Amino acid sequence: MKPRNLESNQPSLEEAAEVRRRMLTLLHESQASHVGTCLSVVEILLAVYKNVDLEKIRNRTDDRVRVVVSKGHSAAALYTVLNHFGLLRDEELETYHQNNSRLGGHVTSTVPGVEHSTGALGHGLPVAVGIGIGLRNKKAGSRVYVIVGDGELHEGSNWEAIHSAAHLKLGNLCLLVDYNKLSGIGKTNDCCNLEPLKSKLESFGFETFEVNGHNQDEIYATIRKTIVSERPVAIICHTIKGKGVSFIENNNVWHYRPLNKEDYEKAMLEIRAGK
Amino acid sequence: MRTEFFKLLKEEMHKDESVFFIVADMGLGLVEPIQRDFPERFLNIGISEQNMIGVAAGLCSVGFHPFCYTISNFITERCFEQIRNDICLHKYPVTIIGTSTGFDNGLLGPTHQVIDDIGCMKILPELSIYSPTSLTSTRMVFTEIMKSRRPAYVRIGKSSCDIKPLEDGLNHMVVRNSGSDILVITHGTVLENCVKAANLCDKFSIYCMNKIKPLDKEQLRGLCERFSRIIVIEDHMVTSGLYNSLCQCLVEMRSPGTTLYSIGTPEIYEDVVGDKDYFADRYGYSPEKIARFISRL
Repeated sequence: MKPRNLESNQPSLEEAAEVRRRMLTLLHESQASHVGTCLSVVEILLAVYKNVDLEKIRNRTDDRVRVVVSKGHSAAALYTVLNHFGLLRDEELETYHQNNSRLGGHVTSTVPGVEHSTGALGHGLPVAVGIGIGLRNKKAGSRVYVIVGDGELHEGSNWEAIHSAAHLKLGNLCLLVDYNKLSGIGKTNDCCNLEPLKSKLESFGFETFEVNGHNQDEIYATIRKTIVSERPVAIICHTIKGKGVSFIENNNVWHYRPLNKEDYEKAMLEIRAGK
Repeated sequence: MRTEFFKLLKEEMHKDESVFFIVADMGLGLVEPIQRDFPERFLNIGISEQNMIGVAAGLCSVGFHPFCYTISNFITERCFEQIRNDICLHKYPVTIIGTSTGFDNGLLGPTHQVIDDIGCMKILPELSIYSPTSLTSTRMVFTEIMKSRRPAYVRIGKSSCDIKPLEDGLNHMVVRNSGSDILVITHGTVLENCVKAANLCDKFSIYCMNKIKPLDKEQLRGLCERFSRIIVIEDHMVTSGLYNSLCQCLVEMRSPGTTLYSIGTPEIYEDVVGDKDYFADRYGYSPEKIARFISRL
Protein backbone atom coordinates (compact mmCIF):
# COMPACT_ATOMS: atom_id res chain seq x y z
CA MET A 1 0.00 0.00 0.00
CA LYS A 2 1.77 3.11 -1.24
CA PRO A 3 1.05 6.47 0.30
CA ARG A 4 -0.72 8.58 -2.28
CA ASN A 5 1.16 11.73 -1.47
CA LEU A 6 4.49 10.17 -2.36
CA GLU A 7 3.37 9.15 -5.83
CA SER A 8 3.43 12.67 -7.16
CA ASN A 9 4.34 16.16 -6.17
CA GLN A 10 0.72 17.02 -5.70
CA PRO A 11 0.14 20.68 -4.89
CA SER A 12 -1.19 21.07 -1.38
CA LEU A 13 -4.50 22.70 -2.41
CA GLU A 14 -5.31 19.86 -4.77
CA GLU A 15 -4.23 17.36 -2.15
CA ALA A 16 -6.54 18.85 0.48
CA ALA A 17 -9.40 18.89 -2.03
CA GLU A 18 -8.83 15.21 -2.78
CA VAL A 19 -8.93 14.38 0.95
CA ARG A 20 -12.13 16.42 1.36
CA ARG A 21 -13.82 14.62 -1.54
CA ARG A 22 -12.98 11.20 -0.18
CA MET A 23 -14.02 12.24 3.30
CA LEU A 24 -17.35 13.69 2.18
CA THR A 25 -18.08 10.50 0.25
CA LEU A 26 -17.35 8.55 3.40
CA LEU A 27 -19.52 10.82 5.53
CA HIS A 28 -22.36 10.75 3.01
CA GLU A 29 -22.32 6.99 2.48
CA SER A 30 -22.20 6.33 6.20
CA GLN A 31 -24.71 9.10 7.01
CA ALA A 32 -22.38 10.16 9.81
CA SER A 33 -22.32 13.53 11.58
CA HIS A 34 -19.50 16.01 12.35
CA VAL A 35 -19.13 17.11 8.74
CA GLY A 36 -18.16 20.67 9.67
CA THR A 37 -15.44 19.78 12.15
CA CYS A 38 -13.94 17.23 9.76
CA LEU A 39 -13.70 19.83 7.00
CA SER A 40 -11.92 22.33 9.25
CA VAL A 41 -9.05 20.06 10.31
CA VAL A 42 -7.89 18.65 6.96
CA GLU A 43 -4.85 20.87 6.34
CA ILE A 44 -3.73 20.54 9.99
CA LEU A 45 -3.70 16.75 9.71
CA LEU A 46 -1.95 16.79 6.34
CA ALA A 47 0.77 19.11 7.62
CA VAL A 48 1.34 17.07 10.77
CA TYR A 49 1.59 13.72 8.99
CA LYS A 50 4.04 15.20 6.48
CA ASN A 51 6.31 15.86 9.43
CA VAL A 52 6.41 12.31 10.72
CA ASP A 53 8.24 9.15 9.74
CA LEU A 54 5.31 7.09 8.46
CA GLU A 55 7.29 3.85 8.51
CA LYS A 56 7.94 4.21 12.22
CA ILE A 57 4.24 4.76 12.84
CA ARG A 58 3.36 1.78 10.67
CA ASN A 59 5.82 -0.41 12.57
CA ARG A 60 4.99 1.15 15.95
CA THR A 61 8.65 1.63 16.81
CA ASP A 62 9.36 2.87 20.33
CA ASP A 63 10.83 6.11 19.03
CA ARG A 64 7.98 6.95 16.64
CA VAL A 65 6.43 10.37 16.62
CA ARG A 66 3.05 10.24 18.35
CA VAL A 67 0.03 12.02 16.95
CA VAL A 68 -2.90 12.37 19.35
CA VAL A 69 -6.12 13.65 17.83
CA SER A 70 -7.93 14.93 20.87
CA LYS A 71 -10.94 16.28 18.99
CA GLY A 72 -12.05 12.70 18.50
CA HIS A 73 -15.17 13.63 16.53
CA SER A 74 -12.95 14.40 13.53
CA ALA A 75 -12.45 10.66 13.06
CA ALA A 76 -13.54 10.69 9.40
CA ALA A 77 -10.89 13.32 8.67
CA LEU A 78 -8.17 11.42 10.52
CA TYR A 79 -9.01 8.09 8.91
CA THR A 80 -9.11 9.64 5.43
CA VAL A 81 -5.73 11.26 6.02
CA LEU A 82 -4.26 8.01 7.40
CA ASN A 83 -5.51 6.32 4.25
CA HIS A 84 -4.03 9.13 2.16
CA PHE A 85 -0.63 8.45 3.70
CA GLY A 86 -0.92 4.69 3.29
CA LEU A 87 -1.45 3.87 6.97
CA LEU A 88 -5.02 2.64 6.59
CA ARG A 89 -6.24 0.36 3.82
CA ASP A 90 -8.98 1.40 1.38
CA GLU A 91 -11.14 -1.60 2.24
CA GLU A 92 -11.06 -0.75 5.93
CA LEU A 93 -11.68 2.95 5.40
CA GLU A 94 -14.84 2.07 3.49
CA THR A 95 -16.26 0.41 6.61
CA TYR A 96 -16.36 3.77 8.41
CA HIS A 97 -19.35 4.17 10.72
CA GLN A 98 -20.79 0.78 9.73
CA ASN A 99 -21.89 -2.05 12.00
CA ASN A 100 -19.03 -4.32 13.07
CA SER A 101 -16.35 -1.89 11.89
CA ARG A 102 -13.37 -0.73 13.96
CA LEU A 103 -13.87 2.73 12.48
CA GLY A 104 -16.49 4.53 14.53
CA GLY A 105 -17.46 8.16 14.66
CA HIS A 106 -14.74 8.93 17.19
CA VAL A 107 -11.03 8.24 17.02
CA THR A 108 -10.17 4.75 18.24
CA SER A 109 -6.75 3.30 18.92
CA THR A 110 -7.55 -0.15 17.59
CA VAL A 111 -7.42 1.41 14.12
CA PRO A 112 -3.97 1.05 12.51
CA GLY A 113 -1.92 4.22 12.87
CA VAL A 114 -4.03 5.69 15.67
CA GLU A 115 -2.23 6.42 18.90
CA HIS A 116 -5.00 7.05 21.42
CA SER A 117 -8.78 6.69 21.60
CA THR A 118 -10.57 9.98 22.09
CA GLY A 119 -14.09 11.29 21.90
CA ALA A 120 -14.63 12.60 25.40
CA LEU A 121 -13.01 16.01 25.08
CA GLY A 122 -10.10 17.24 27.14
CA HIS A 123 -8.28 13.91 27.30
CA GLY A 124 -5.72 14.11 24.50
CA LEU A 125 -3.59 16.91 25.86
CA PRO A 126 -2.81 15.34 29.26
CA VAL A 127 -2.03 12.07 27.49
CA ALA A 128 0.24 13.92 25.06
CA VAL A 129 2.05 15.52 28.00
CA GLY A 130 2.66 12.04 29.43
CA ILE A 131 3.96 10.88 26.05
CA GLY A 132 6.22 13.91 25.86
CA ILE A 133 7.63 13.23 29.33
CA GLY A 134 8.18 9.58 28.42
CA LEU A 135 9.85 10.28 25.08
CA ARG A 136 12.16 12.82 26.69
CA ASN A 137 12.94 10.48 29.57
CA LYS A 138 13.91 7.76 27.09
CA LYS A 139 15.86 10.23 24.97
CA ALA A 140 13.86 9.08 21.95
CA GLY A 141 14.36 12.40 20.19
CA SER A 142 10.84 12.34 18.80
CA ARG A 143 7.96 14.71 19.18
CA VAL A 144 4.31 14.42 20.17
CA TYR A 145 1.63 16.33 18.29
CA VAL A 146 -1.80 16.87 19.78
CA ILE A 147 -4.70 18.39 17.87
CA VAL A 148 -7.48 19.96 19.92
CA GLY A 149 -10.63 21.80 18.99
CA ASP A 150 -11.37 25.30 20.23
CA GLY A 151 -14.59 24.32 22.00
CA GLU A 152 -12.59 21.56 23.63
CA LEU A 153 -10.41 24.19 25.30
CA HIS A 154 -13.32 24.88 27.61
CA GLU A 155 -12.45 21.60 29.34
CA GLY A 156 -10.38 22.37 32.44
CA SER A 157 -8.21 19.28 32.09
CA ASN A 158 -6.49 20.94 29.12
CA TRP A 159 -5.34 23.80 31.28
CA GLU A 160 -3.98 21.41 33.89
CA ALA A 161 -1.95 19.79 31.12
CA ILE A 162 -0.87 23.14 29.66
CA HIS A 163 0.38 24.13 33.11
CA SER A 164 2.37 20.90 33.40
CA ALA A 165 3.82 21.04 29.90
CA ALA A 166 5.07 24.57 30.41
CA HIS A 167 6.38 23.87 33.91
CA LEU A 168 8.29 20.85 32.62
CA LYS A 169 9.55 22.83 29.59
CA LEU A 170 8.30 20.05 27.37
CA GLY A 171 9.92 21.17 24.15
CA ASN A 172 8.89 18.02 22.32
CA LEU A 173 5.17 18.80 22.65
CA CYS A 174 3.41 20.53 19.77
CA LEU A 175 -0.19 21.58 20.39
CA LEU A 176 -2.29 22.49 17.36
CA VAL A 177 -5.60 24.23 17.94
CA ASP A 178 -8.25 23.85 15.24
CA TYR A 179 -9.71 27.28 15.92
CA ASN A 180 -12.85 27.21 13.80
CA LYS A 181 -14.75 29.50 16.21
CA LEU A 182 -17.77 27.24 16.50
CA SER A 183 -18.49 24.65 19.15
CA GLY A 184 -21.50 22.35 19.49
CA ILE A 185 -24.48 24.68 19.40
CA GLY A 186 -23.03 28.14 18.98
CA LYS A 187 -19.96 30.32 18.72
CA THR A 188 -17.10 29.12 20.90
CA ASN A 189 -16.30 32.57 22.21
CA ASP A 190 -19.92 33.54 22.87
CA CYS A 191 -20.20 30.58 25.15
CA CYS A 192 -16.97 31.19 27.04
CA ASN A 193 -14.41 33.47 25.49
CA LEU A 194 -11.03 31.90 24.82
CA GLU A 195 -9.48 35.20 23.83
CA PRO A 196 -6.82 36.40 24.06
CA LEU A 197 -5.82 32.81 23.30
CA LYS A 198 -2.34 33.51 21.95
CA SER A 199 -1.28 35.61 24.91
CA LYS A 200 -2.91 33.16 27.30
CA LEU A 201 -0.83 30.30 25.93
CA GLU A 202 2.26 32.49 25.87
CA SER A 203 1.71 33.52 29.45
CA PHE A 204 1.50 29.86 30.43
CA GLY A 205 4.93 29.37 28.81
CA PHE A 206 4.18 28.04 25.33
CA GLU A 207 6.02 29.29 22.28
CA THR A 208 2.90 30.29 20.38
CA PHE A 209 2.16 30.95 16.70
CA GLU A 210 -0.95 31.89 14.78
CA VAL A 211 -1.38 30.60 11.25
CA ASN A 212 -3.98 30.27 8.53
CA GLY A 213 -5.25 26.80 9.33
CA HIS A 214 -6.16 26.18 5.71
CA ASN A 215 -2.69 26.98 4.43
CA GLN A 216 -1.06 23.59 4.68
CA ASP A 217 2.35 24.94 3.68
CA GLU A 218 2.25 27.56 6.43
CA ILE A 219 1.32 25.01 9.10
CA TYR A 220 4.00 22.66 7.77
CA ALA A 221 6.65 25.39 7.86
CA THR A 222 5.68 26.40 11.41
CA ILE A 223 5.97 22.81 12.55
CA ARG A 224 9.38 22.49 10.86
CA LYS A 225 10.81 25.63 12.35
CA THR A 226 9.80 24.61 15.88
CA ILE A 227 11.03 21.02 15.78
CA VAL A 228 13.82 21.90 18.18
CA SER A 229 12.36 23.99 20.96
CA GLU A 230 13.18 24.68 24.57
CA ARG A 231 9.50 25.14 25.39
CA PRO A 232 6.25 23.49 24.38
CA VAL A 233 4.88 24.86 21.13
CA ALA A 234 1.31 25.91 20.37
CA ILE A 235 0.13 26.60 16.85
CA ILE A 236 -3.24 28.30 16.74
CA CYS A 237 -4.69 27.37 13.38
CA HIS A 238 -7.43 29.77 12.32
CA THR A 239 -9.89 27.67 10.40
CA ILE A 240 -13.42 27.72 9.06
CA LYS A 241 -15.82 25.07 10.26
CA GLY A 242 -17.10 23.38 7.11
CA LYS A 243 -14.23 24.74 4.99
CA GLY A 244 -14.62 24.19 1.25
CA VAL A 245 -18.40 23.93 1.00
CA SER A 246 -20.19 27.28 1.01
CA PHE A 247 -23.44 26.14 2.57
CA ILE A 248 -21.65 24.18 5.30
CA GLU A 249 -19.10 26.86 6.19
CA ASN A 250 -19.79 28.56 9.50
CA ASN A 251 -23.15 26.84 9.80
CA ASN A 252 -23.36 24.74 12.91
CA VAL A 253 -26.26 22.58 11.82
CA TRP A 254 -23.49 20.61 10.08
CA HIS A 255 -22.00 19.66 13.40
CA TYR A 256 -24.72 17.04 13.58
CA ARG A 257 -26.58 16.84 10.25
CA PRO A 258 -25.59 14.05 7.87
CA LEU A 259 -25.22 14.80 4.15
CA ASN A 260 -28.19 13.76 2.03
CA LYS A 261 -27.73 12.93 -1.67
CA GLU A 262 -28.56 16.40 -2.94
CA ASP A 263 -26.31 18.21 -0.48
CA TYR A 264 -23.53 15.71 -1.05
CA GLU A 265 -23.60 16.26 -4.80
CA LYS A 266 -23.63 20.01 -4.39
CA ALA A 267 -20.74 19.81 -1.94
CA MET A 268 -18.69 17.62 -4.24
CA LEU A 269 -19.21 20.01 -7.13
CA GLU A 270 -17.96 22.91 -5.02
CA ILE A 271 -14.88 21.04 -3.93
CA ARG A 272 -14.19 19.87 -7.48
CA ALA A 273 -14.42 23.47 -8.60
CA GLY A 274 -11.92 24.34 -5.92
CA LYS A 275 -14.06 27.00 -4.30
CA MET B 1 0.80 -0.43 54.87
CA ARG B 2 1.53 2.69 52.82
CA THR B 3 5.08 2.83 54.13
CA GLU B 4 5.51 -0.81 53.20
CA PHE B 5 4.04 -0.25 49.73
CA PHE B 6 6.35 2.67 49.01
CA LYS B 7 9.35 0.76 50.33
CA LEU B 8 8.54 -2.01 47.85
CA LEU B 9 7.98 0.54 45.11
CA LYS B 10 11.37 2.11 45.74
CA GLU B 11 13.07 -1.26 45.64
CA GLU B 12 11.28 -2.05 42.39
CA MET B 13 12.33 1.25 40.86
CA HIS B 14 15.94 0.25 41.46
CA LYS B 15 15.38 -2.97 39.51
CA ASP B 16 12.87 -1.91 36.87
CA GLU B 17 13.49 1.27 34.90
CA SER B 18 9.97 1.26 33.50
CA VAL B 19 8.42 2.09 36.87
CA PHE B 20 7.41 5.75 37.11
CA PHE B 21 5.83 7.39 40.17
CA ILE B 22 3.43 10.35 40.01
CA VAL B 23 1.79 12.03 42.97
CA ALA B 24 -0.85 14.75 43.01
CA ASP B 25 0.77 16.78 45.78
CA MET B 26 0.29 14.07 48.40
CA GLY B 27 2.57 11.84 50.43
CA LEU B 28 4.46 14.10 52.82
CA GLY B 29 6.82 11.95 54.86
CA LEU B 30 6.24 8.96 52.58
CA VAL B 31 7.42 9.68 49.06
CA GLU B 32 10.57 11.71 49.64
CA PRO B 33 13.02 8.76 49.44
CA ILE B 34 11.69 7.93 45.95
CA GLN B 35 11.78 11.58 44.95
CA ARG B 36 15.39 11.78 46.10
CA ASP B 37 16.61 8.57 44.47
CA PHE B 38 14.68 8.80 41.20
CA PRO B 39 14.28 12.42 40.16
CA GLU B 40 13.86 11.31 36.52
CA ARG B 41 11.01 8.94 37.33
CA PHE B 42 9.23 10.84 40.08
CA LEU B 43 6.79 13.61 39.34
CA ASN B 44 4.65 15.73 41.62
CA ILE B 45 2.10 16.79 39.03
CA GLY B 46 0.33 19.15 41.43
CA ILE B 47 -3.29 19.04 42.49
CA SER B 48 -4.56 17.96 39.08
CA GLU B 49 -5.86 14.41 39.21
CA GLN B 50 -7.38 14.39 35.72
CA ASN B 51 -4.04 15.47 34.33
CA MET B 52 -2.21 12.89 36.44
CA ILE B 53 -4.18 10.00 35.00
CA GLY B 54 -3.87 11.30 31.44
CA VAL B 55 -0.12 11.75 31.88
CA ALA B 56 0.12 8.21 33.25
CA ALA B 57 -1.67 6.88 30.16
CA GLY B 58 0.73 8.79 27.93
CA LEU B 59 3.69 7.31 29.80
CA CYS B 60 2.30 3.84 29.11
CA SER B 61 2.32 4.64 25.41
CA VAL B 62 6.09 5.00 25.75
CA GLY B 63 6.50 1.78 27.74
CA PHE B 64 6.40 2.95 31.35
CA HIS B 65 4.50 1.37 34.24
CA PRO B 66 3.20 4.36 36.17
CA PHE B 67 2.04 4.37 39.79
CA CYS B 68 -0.23 7.28 40.72
CA TYR B 69 -0.92 8.36 44.28
CA THR B 70 -3.24 10.61 46.21
CA ILE B 71 -6.29 10.36 48.49
CA SER B 72 -8.68 7.63 47.35
CA ASN B 73 -11.71 9.72 46.46
CA PHE B 74 -9.68 12.23 44.47
CA ILE B 75 -7.89 9.56 42.50
CA THR B 76 -11.04 7.62 41.65
CA GLU B 77 -13.98 9.96 41.45
CA ARG B 78 -12.42 13.23 40.31
CA CYS B 79 -10.83 11.55 37.30
CA PHE B 80 -13.28 8.72 36.67
CA GLU B 81 -13.55 9.37 32.94
CA GLN B 82 -9.76 9.49 32.55
CA ILE B 83 -9.49 6.11 34.27
CA ARG B 84 -12.25 4.73 32.04
CA ASN B 85 -11.10 6.11 28.70
CA ASP B 86 -7.37 6.66 29.00
CA ILE B 87 -6.45 3.64 31.13
CA CYS B 88 -9.05 0.87 31.07
CA LEU B 89 -10.07 1.30 27.44
CA HIS B 90 -6.40 1.06 26.44
CA LYS B 91 -5.61 -1.70 28.96
CA TYR B 92 -2.69 0.39 30.18
CA PRO B 93 -0.79 -0.91 33.24
CA VAL B 94 -1.37 2.07 35.51
CA THR B 95 -1.47 1.37 39.24
CA ILE B 96 -3.75 3.79 41.04
CA ILE B 97 -2.94 3.99 44.73
CA GLY B 98 -5.57 5.66 46.87
CA THR B 99 -4.93 6.36 50.50
CA SER B 100 -7.10 7.44 53.43
CA THR B 101 -9.89 4.94 52.91
CA GLY B 102 -13.22 4.67 54.65
CA PHE B 103 -13.29 7.05 57.61
CA ASP B 104 -9.49 7.42 57.96
CA ASN B 105 -10.15 11.13 57.47
CA GLY B 106 -13.66 11.06 58.88
CA LEU B 107 -13.14 14.18 60.99
CA LEU B 108 -12.32 16.17 57.86
CA GLY B 109 -15.88 15.96 56.63
CA PRO B 110 -17.94 14.15 54.02
CA THR B 111 -15.72 15.14 51.06
CA HIS B 112 -12.94 13.13 52.70
CA GLN B 113 -14.97 10.11 53.75
CA VAL B 114 -14.13 7.45 51.18
CA ILE B 115 -17.06 5.07 51.30
CA ASP B 116 -18.11 4.84 47.65
CA ASP B 117 -14.84 4.39 45.75
CA ILE B 118 -15.13 0.62 45.27
CA GLY B 119 -18.58 1.04 43.79
CA CYS B 120 -17.24 3.70 41.49
CA MET B 121 -14.28 1.64 40.31
CA LYS B 122 -15.69 -1.86 40.14
CA ILE B 123 -17.86 -1.16 37.13
CA LEU B 124 -14.77 -0.55 34.98
CA PRO B 125 -13.67 -3.46 32.79
CA GLU B 126 -9.99 -4.47 32.97
CA LEU B 127 -9.42 -2.81 36.35
CA SER B 128 -8.37 -5.03 39.24
CA ILE B 129 -9.19 -3.75 42.74
CA TYR B 130 -7.11 -4.53 45.81
CA SER B 131 -7.80 -3.63 49.43
CA PRO B 132 -4.88 -4.98 51.48
CA THR B 133 -5.54 -5.83 55.12
CA SER B 134 -2.03 -6.26 56.48
CA LEU B 135 1.65 -5.71 55.82
CA THR B 136 1.90 -9.25 54.50
CA SER B 137 -1.00 -8.80 52.12
CA THR B 138 0.39 -5.45 50.99
CA ARG B 139 3.54 -7.28 49.88
CA MET B 140 1.44 -9.90 48.09
CA VAL B 141 -0.62 -7.24 46.33
CA PHE B 142 2.51 -5.49 45.16
CA THR B 143 3.98 -8.71 43.80
CA GLU B 144 0.80 -9.48 41.90
CA ILE B 145 0.63 -5.99 40.41
CA MET B 146 4.19 -6.19 39.13
CA LYS B 147 3.51 -9.60 37.65
CA SER B 148 0.15 -8.86 36.05
CA ARG B 149 0.88 -5.44 34.52
CA ARG B 150 -2.80 -4.58 34.31
CA PRO B 151 -4.81 -1.52 35.29
CA ALA B 152 -5.19 -1.68 39.05
CA TYR B 153 -6.68 0.30 41.91
CA VAL B 154 -5.15 -0.24 45.34
CA ARG B 155 -7.27 1.03 48.22
CA ILE B 156 -4.69 1.34 50.92
CA GLY B 157 -5.73 2.60 54.34
CA LYS B 158 -3.77 3.73 57.36
CA SER B 159 -2.80 0.61 59.25
CA SER B 160 0.21 -1.37 60.34
CA CYS B 161 -1.66 -4.60 61.05
CA ASP B 162 0.76 -7.49 60.75
CA ILE B 163 -1.42 -10.53 61.14
CA LYS B 164 -0.08 -13.60 59.35
CA PRO B 165 -2.13 -15.62 56.87
CA LEU B 166 -3.01 -19.18 57.78
CA GLU B 167 -2.87 -20.34 54.17
CA ASP B 168 -1.29 -19.50 50.81
CA GLY B 169 -2.78 -17.07 48.35
CA LEU B 170 -3.58 -13.40 48.18
CA ASN B 171 -7.03 -13.93 49.68
CA HIS B 172 -6.66 -15.97 52.83
CA MET B 173 -7.92 -16.99 56.23
CA VAL B 174 -6.30 -15.24 59.20
CA VAL B 175 -8.45 -16.57 62.03
CA ARG B 176 -9.81 -20.11 61.88
CA ASN B 177 -12.50 -21.59 64.08
CA SER B 178 -13.00 -25.10 62.78
CA GLY B 179 -16.07 -25.67 64.93
CA SER B 180 -18.12 -22.80 63.53
CA ASP B 181 -20.10 -22.30 60.33
CA ILE B 182 -19.77 -18.50 60.57
CA LEU B 183 -17.27 -16.65 58.41
CA VAL B 184 -16.42 -12.96 58.39
CA ILE B 185 -15.13 -11.70 55.08
CA THR B 186 -13.45 -8.32 55.26
CA HIS B 187 -10.96 -6.11 53.48
CA GLY B 188 -8.77 -3.11 54.19
CA THR B 189 -8.23 -1.71 57.64
CA VAL B 190 -11.50 -3.08 59.06
CA LEU B 191 -9.64 -6.34 59.58
CA GLU B 192 -8.20 -4.95 62.81
CA ASN B 193 -11.69 -4.55 64.31
CA CYS B 194 -12.65 -8.04 63.16
CA VAL B 195 -9.62 -9.57 64.85
CA LYS B 196 -10.35 -7.69 68.09
CA ALA B 197 -13.95 -8.94 67.86
CA ALA B 198 -12.67 -12.50 67.59
CA ASN B 199 -11.02 -12.01 70.98
CA LEU B 200 -14.40 -11.05 72.44
CA CYS B 201 -16.41 -13.75 70.72
CA ASP B 202 -14.67 -16.83 69.33
CA LYS B 203 -17.59 -18.08 67.25
CA PHE B 204 -16.21 -17.30 63.79
CA SER B 205 -13.39 -17.42 61.28
CA ILE B 206 -11.98 -14.43 59.39
CA TYR B 207 -11.14 -14.35 55.71
CA CYS B 208 -9.31 -11.42 54.11
CA MET B 209 -10.50 -10.51 50.64
CA ASN B 210 -7.43 -8.52 49.66
CA LYS B 211 -8.43 -8.72 46.01
CA ILE B 212 -11.94 -7.42 45.53
CA LYS B 213 -12.09 -7.60 41.77
CA PRO B 214 -12.14 -9.82 39.87
CA LEU B 215 -13.63 -12.21 42.41
CA ASP B 216 -12.41 -15.78 42.38
CA LYS B 217 -15.64 -17.76 42.05
CA GLU B 218 -14.04 -21.11 42.76
CA GLN B 219 -12.57 -19.75 45.95
CA LEU B 220 -15.98 -18.41 46.95
CA ARG B 221 -17.65 -21.69 46.12
CA GLY B 222 -15.24 -23.42 48.47
CA LEU B 223 -16.02 -20.93 51.25
CA CYS B 224 -19.76 -21.38 50.75
CA GLU B 225 -19.37 -25.12 51.06
CA ARG B 226 -17.59 -24.71 54.39
CA PHE B 227 -19.60 -21.86 55.89
CA SER B 228 -23.37 -21.47 55.89
CA ARG B 229 -23.36 -17.95 57.36
CA ILE B 230 -21.10 -15.29 55.86
CA ILE B 231 -20.88 -11.71 57.14
CA VAL B 232 -19.21 -9.11 54.95
CA ILE B 233 -17.77 -6.29 57.05
CA GLU B 234 -16.40 -3.22 55.29
CA ASP B 235 -15.96 0.55 55.60
CA HIS B 236 -17.90 1.17 52.43
CA MET B 237 -21.50 1.59 51.35
CA VAL B 238 -23.08 -1.84 51.46
CA THR B 239 -25.00 -1.05 48.27
CA SER B 240 -21.88 -0.90 46.12
CA GLY B 241 -19.00 -2.51 47.99
CA LEU B 242 -17.79 -6.08 48.41
CA TYR B 243 -21.11 -7.23 49.97
CA ASN B 244 -22.92 -6.05 46.87
CA SER B 245 -20.48 -7.97 44.64
CA LEU B 246 -20.87 -11.13 46.72
CA CYS B 247 -24.67 -10.89 46.52
CA GLN B 248 -24.46 -11.10 42.74
CA CYS B 249 -21.83 -13.77 42.83
CA LEU B 250 -23.72 -16.03 45.21
CA VAL B 251 -26.92 -15.71 43.21
CA GLU B 252 -25.06 -16.59 40.01
CA MET B 253 -23.42 -19.51 41.80
CA ARG B 254 -26.88 -20.70 42.94
CA SER B 255 -25.70 -21.01 46.50
CA PRO B 256 -28.98 -21.30 48.45
CA GLY B 257 -27.32 -22.88 51.45
CA THR B 258 -25.43 -19.71 52.31
CA THR B 259 -26.93 -16.79 54.19
CA LEU B 260 -25.12 -13.53 53.54
CA TYR B 261 -25.13 -10.66 56.04
CA SER B 262 -23.61 -7.22 55.76
CA ILE B 263 -22.13 -4.69 58.13
CA GLY B 264 -21.07 -1.48 56.43
CA THR B 265 -22.18 2.05 55.80
CA PRO B 266 -25.58 3.07 54.47
CA GLU B 267 -26.01 4.82 51.14
CA ILE B 268 -25.83 8.34 52.48
CA TYR B 269 -23.34 11.17 52.77
CA GLU B 270 -22.79 12.19 56.36
CA ASP B 271 -23.87 15.46 57.92
CA VAL B 272 -21.66 14.92 60.94
CA VAL B 273 -17.96 14.26 61.29
CA GLY B 274 -16.16 11.69 63.38
CA ASP B 275 -13.06 9.54 63.52
CA LYS B 276 -12.89 5.99 62.22
CA ASP B 277 -13.76 4.49 65.62
CA TYR B 278 -16.79 6.76 65.90
CA PHE B 279 -18.15 5.61 62.54
CA ALA B 280 -17.21 1.99 63.17
CA ASP B 281 -19.35 2.13 66.29
CA ARG B 282 -22.13 4.05 64.55
CA TYR B 283 -22.37 1.52 61.73
CA GLY B 284 -21.79 -1.59 63.76
CA TYR B 285 -18.26 -2.64 62.93
CA SER B 286 -16.48 -1.70 66.15
CA PRO B 287 -15.01 -4.82 67.81
CA GLU B 288 -17.76 -4.83 70.42
CA LYS B 289 -20.60 -4.48 67.93
CA ILE B 290 -19.19 -7.11 65.58
CA ALA B 291 -18.90 -9.50 68.52
CA ARG B 292 -22.43 -8.71 69.66
CA PHE B 293 -23.85 -9.12 66.12
CA ILE B 294 -22.25 -12.52 65.73
CA SER B 295 -23.05 -13.76 69.20
CA ARG B 296 -26.74 -13.11 68.45
CA LEU B 297 -26.77 -15.02 65.16
